[in-house]
Amino acid sequence: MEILDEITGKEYEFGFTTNIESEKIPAGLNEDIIRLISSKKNEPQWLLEWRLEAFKIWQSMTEPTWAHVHYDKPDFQGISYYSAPKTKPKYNSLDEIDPEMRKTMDRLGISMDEQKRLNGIAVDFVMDSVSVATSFKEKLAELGIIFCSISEAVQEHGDLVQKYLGTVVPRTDNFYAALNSAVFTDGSFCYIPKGVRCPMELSTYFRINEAGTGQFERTLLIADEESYVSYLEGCTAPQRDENQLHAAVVELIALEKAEIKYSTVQNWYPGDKDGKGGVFNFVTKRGLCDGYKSKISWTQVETGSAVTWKYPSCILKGDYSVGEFYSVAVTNHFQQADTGTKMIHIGRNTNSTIISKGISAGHSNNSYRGLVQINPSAKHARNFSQCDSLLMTDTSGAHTFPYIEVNNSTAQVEHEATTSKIGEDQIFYCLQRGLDEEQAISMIVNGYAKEVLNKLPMEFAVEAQKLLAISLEGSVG
Amino acid sequence: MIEIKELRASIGEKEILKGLNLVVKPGEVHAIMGPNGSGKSTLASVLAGREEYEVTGGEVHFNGKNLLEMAPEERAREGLFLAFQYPVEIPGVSNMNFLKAAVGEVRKHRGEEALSAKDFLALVKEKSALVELDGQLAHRAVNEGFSGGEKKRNEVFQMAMLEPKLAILDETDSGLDIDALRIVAQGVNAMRSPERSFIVITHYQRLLDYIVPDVVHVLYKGKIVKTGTKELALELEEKGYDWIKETVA
Amino acid sequence: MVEVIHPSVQKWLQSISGCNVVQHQFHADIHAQLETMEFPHSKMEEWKYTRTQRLNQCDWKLQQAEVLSDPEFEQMDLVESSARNTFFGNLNQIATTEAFALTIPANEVFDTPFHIVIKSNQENAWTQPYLRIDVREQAQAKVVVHFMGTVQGLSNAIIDVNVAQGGQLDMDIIEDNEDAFFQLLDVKVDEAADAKCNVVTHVLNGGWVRNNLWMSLNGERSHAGLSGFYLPQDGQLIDNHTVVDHRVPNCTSDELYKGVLYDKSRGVFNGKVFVRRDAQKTQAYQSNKNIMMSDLAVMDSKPELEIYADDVRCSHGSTTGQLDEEALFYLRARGLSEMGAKQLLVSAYVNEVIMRSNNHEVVTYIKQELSNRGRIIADEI
Repeated sequence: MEILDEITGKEYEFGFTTNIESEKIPAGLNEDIIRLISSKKNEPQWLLEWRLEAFKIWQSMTEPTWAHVHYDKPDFQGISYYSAPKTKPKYNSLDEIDPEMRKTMDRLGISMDEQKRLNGIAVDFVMDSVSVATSFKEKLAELGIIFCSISEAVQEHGDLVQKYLGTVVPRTDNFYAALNSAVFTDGSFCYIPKGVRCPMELSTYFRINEAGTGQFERTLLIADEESYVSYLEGCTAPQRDENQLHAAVVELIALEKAEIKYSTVQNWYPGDKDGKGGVFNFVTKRGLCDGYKSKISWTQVETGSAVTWKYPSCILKGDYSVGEFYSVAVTNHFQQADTGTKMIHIGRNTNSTIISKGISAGHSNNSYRGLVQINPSAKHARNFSQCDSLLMTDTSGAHTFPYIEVNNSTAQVEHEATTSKIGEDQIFYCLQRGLDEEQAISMIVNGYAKEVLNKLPMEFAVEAQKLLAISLEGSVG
Repeated sequence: MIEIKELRASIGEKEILKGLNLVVKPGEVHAIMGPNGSGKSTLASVLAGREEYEVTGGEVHFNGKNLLEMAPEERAREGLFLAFQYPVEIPGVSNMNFLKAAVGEVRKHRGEEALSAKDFLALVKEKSALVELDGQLAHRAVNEGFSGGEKKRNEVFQMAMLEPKLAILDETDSGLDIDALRIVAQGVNAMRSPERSFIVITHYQRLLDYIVPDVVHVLYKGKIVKTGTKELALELEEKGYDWIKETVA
Repeated sequence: MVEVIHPSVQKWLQSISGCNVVQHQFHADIHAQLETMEFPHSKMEEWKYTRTQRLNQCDWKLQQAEVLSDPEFEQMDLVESSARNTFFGNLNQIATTEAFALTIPANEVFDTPFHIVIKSNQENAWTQPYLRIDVREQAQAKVVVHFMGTVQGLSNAIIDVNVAQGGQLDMDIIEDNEDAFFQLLDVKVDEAADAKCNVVTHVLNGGWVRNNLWMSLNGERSHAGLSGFYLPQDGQLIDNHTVVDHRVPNCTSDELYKGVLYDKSRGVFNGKVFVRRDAQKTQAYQSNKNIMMSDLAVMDSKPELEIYADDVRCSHGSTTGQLDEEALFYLRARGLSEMGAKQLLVSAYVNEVIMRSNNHEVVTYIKQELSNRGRIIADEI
C-alpha cells in the first residue's frame, strides 16, 4: 500500500498552489475588460487598438472542431483574463522577490540563485498573467541582447514589438490566436542583434497559479542576421478540479543566417487519473525563416495538459532555410494530444525534418498531425518525416494524420510512420537482468525517444527524462 | 579514338581534374592507375557525361567529334561505353527489356536494322556465355539482387551486346574474387580488336595480369604524372603510391 | 426539422424527380437525410483537395447506362444497398438507374473472370449504376468492373461486395473515361473470417475521378489488398480515398497506390487505416508513392493511421519525388534517350501496381492499352 501511495502521490509533482495575494480582475470578456488590461499595463494606444481589432476578429470566429480531441468547450465569460501577484510587480533585484514566490520557484526547480547562475541560464518567470523576474539582464544587455517580459518590451522597445508582433501569427490566424491577441497579459520578448551568438540558454517558466484564470502569454523572439539563440520554455500548473485554459502564441523570426533553437518541456497539469481537471493547452507556435540560410528548430517534450492542441511550425521563406521539429508526446490516463507541425516550403532548396515520437498509455489518445506543403517556388525542397507511435495499453489510441501537399517537380518528400506495442521481450529482458517494470519501461521509452531527447540542451534533457518516467508510472496494463 | 586535352572538372566547388591529357588510339588498351582520390572515377564519369560534374576547361574529341557537347545517350550511341564501378539497381525494369531498348537505339544510330526477337535472343545467348552469366539473370530486373560479381559480369555482358568503340572500365576489379576477375577479364579480352580501344581504371595491378595494357598511366591529384609500359604497373605495385607522391613532390 | 434545403442540393434532387428513368429504389429516410446535407466542398475534410464546382456546372440528365456483361450478371429490381451517408452515395441510393448482381455459390471456384462493362455514351448523361457481388462460403472468383465514359457525362456508381467465410475475390476496376467525363465510384467490401479480397483500381484515363474504397475486415484472419495507379495528364484530377477498417483480431491488409503526375494535373490520395480496440494482432501496411513529372502538377497525399489496439504492427509511408537520377543516367549511358529512359522507369514503376492484380488477362490488357497510348513501354519478351 505504501508503495502504491508513493506512486500515485508522485503523479503530478507540481500540483501545489502558492499562497500569494493576487489582484484578479472580474471574470468575463468584452471591450471594457480589454481596455482595463491595456490600461493596467500602461500600454500605448496602438496596442490597445490592435487588441480591440483582434477581439472583433475573435468574435467573428467559431471554435475549430477538426482536431482529434473531445472536450467541453471553455466558458470564455467564466475566465478572469488578468491576475497578477499583488506585491510589487517589478523587482529591482532577484532578492526582492516575495518569499512565497521564491518558494514556488524553488519547488519548480527554478532557483534564481547562484546555482542557476553557474549553470548559465537566464530565466524569465511568468506566473499567471505577469512576468515576475528576469535574471541576467545586465549581462545580456552588454551584448545588445534584449531579454525581458513582453510588457516591459512594449514600454521600452515599442518599435521592435510593433514591427514584429503578429507578423508570423496574424490575429486572423485561428480562434485561439485571435483570443490571445486580444487578451495576452505577458510573456517573454527576446531580440538577438546582428552577428551575436547568445552565450547562454534563455529560459522562461510559465505557471498558472490562481484559480479561475487562464493564461494567455505571448512570446516574441527575433534573431537578427547571423545570430544564434537557444531558448527554453517550461510550464506547470497547480492541481485543480476545473479545467484551466492556456492559449499562448509564440512567434519566432530568423533573419539571414540566423538560427533559433526553441525547446519546450510542457508539463501543465494533465488532470487526475479519472480525467478530471487539467489544462487545455491550445497554443499557436510558429517561426518564420525569413532570411537566406536561416534555421528554426523546435524541440518539444509534451507530458502535460488534459487536452493539447499545438503545431509548432516553420515558414521556410528564405532560400536554403531549414526547419526542424523534434517531438516526444506522452499521454496517460485520459489525456488527449493532437500535436505535430507544419512545414511550409516557399524558398528554394529549403529543407525540413520532422521526427515525432508518440507514447500512449492509460485511456489516452495521442495524435500526430502534420502538414508538409511544398509551394511551386520551393524548387529542390526536401522533407523527411518519421512519426512513430508506441502503445502501452489496449485502451489507448495512437493516430497519424500527415498532410502532404507537393506543388512542384523537384521536391522530395518522404514520410514514414510506424505503430507498435512496447516490446514485451525487451521488458522481460530488463526484468531478467534485475530491473523492475517501471525502470524497464522508463529505460525503453527513453531509448525510443532518444533521437528527440538528444536535441534538448543538457539541463532540460535530464529533466525531460525524469518527466517521461513519472508520466508513465503505473501505465502498463 | 579519343583525345583529351587539358581537361579540368569539378564537383561543387572542388576541382578534381586539373588539366588532364590523354590520347588513346584505336586498338590500344590504356590502364589508368592512381591512389584513392586522384580523380580516376571522376575521369570516367566526366567522359560518360554525368551531370554532377562541371567541366571547367579543356577539350575531349571522340572520333573527331566534340564529346563534351553530347548528351550521355549520344556518347553511348557514338560508341563510348562505361562499365560502372557501382552499377545501379533498377527495380522493376527487366534486364531484357532494358537491353533490347539499348541495343535498338545503338543500332538505329549506326544505321543498322533492328534485330528480330529471334536474333536478339541468339545474341543474348552468345554474349552471356562469354562471361558465364547464368541465363536466368537476363530475366531479372536490372542489377537487382545481383551479387557484386554478377553486377560486374553483367556490365561486361552489356558491353559485348553494345559493341562499343571505346570501353572505359571503372574499377571493374573492385570487389571481385579471383575467379570472377578471370571471367570478367576473359570477356574483355575476347572483345579486344584493332578497332576497339579500352581505358582500364584500376587501383591494383592485379587486373592488369589478366588484361594486359599497352600503356600505363599514373593519375595523381587530377593530372597524369607518369606514363610507361606495363612494367610501370609492376613497379607501382612493388613501391606503392608513396613512391609517386615522392617523385611528384 | 429542416427549414431550408441547400440550393446546390435542391438542384440535384429536382433533376432526379423530374426524370422518368426507372428508379430501382427509393428510400424516404435517405432522401430526408440528403435534404439536410450540403453539396461537397473543399471545407469538408473528405473533399479538402478535390474541387467539385465543375460537377455543378453541367445540366445532367439521369439516364441508364449501357451494360454488357459476360458471363451475364443478374438484373435486380429492388436494391438494398448498404448505408453510405455521403452525398453521392445517398444520391445513388434514392435513384439507382440500373442494378446488377453476381452471386458465386458456396464452394464454387471459377477460373474464368466475370466481366461487366458499364458504358456511358450519351451526351450529358448521368448514370447511377449499382452492382452487388456476393461471394459465398469457400467460393472463389475473379471480377472485372470496367467503366467507360465516351462523352461528357457523369457516372455515380456504387458497388457492394460481400465475401463470406473462406471466400476469395479478385476484383479489378478499370476506369477508362474521356477527359470531359466525371467518375464517382463508391466501393464497399465486407469480409468474413478467412476471406480474401484483392481490389486493384486501374485508372486508364479520366478527366475527373473520385474513387472511394472502403474495406471492412469483419471476420478473423481475413485479408484486404488495395492497389491502384493513376497517371493524370493535363487538366485531369484523380482522387483515391480508401479506408481499411480492421474490426477484429488477426487480420492483414496491404495497400499500395502509385501515381505519376504530368502537366497541369492533380492527384489526391487519402488512405485511412483504422484499427479498432478489439483488432489485436493486426498487420497493416499502407504505401503511397508519387512521381512529379511537371512543375505544374500537384499531389496531395494523406496517409492516415488511427489505431486503438496495442498489439499491432502498422506502418505507412508516403514519398513524392522524381525518377531515380542514378538509374536515369545508367540508362542514358547505355544509349537510351532521356524520354525513353524515363518511360522505361515509369513503366517499371507502374508495373508494380498492375502486377498486383491476380487476373493475368487484365494485366495483359492494361499493359497493352497503356503501351498503345504511349504511356508505358510494354515488355515484349
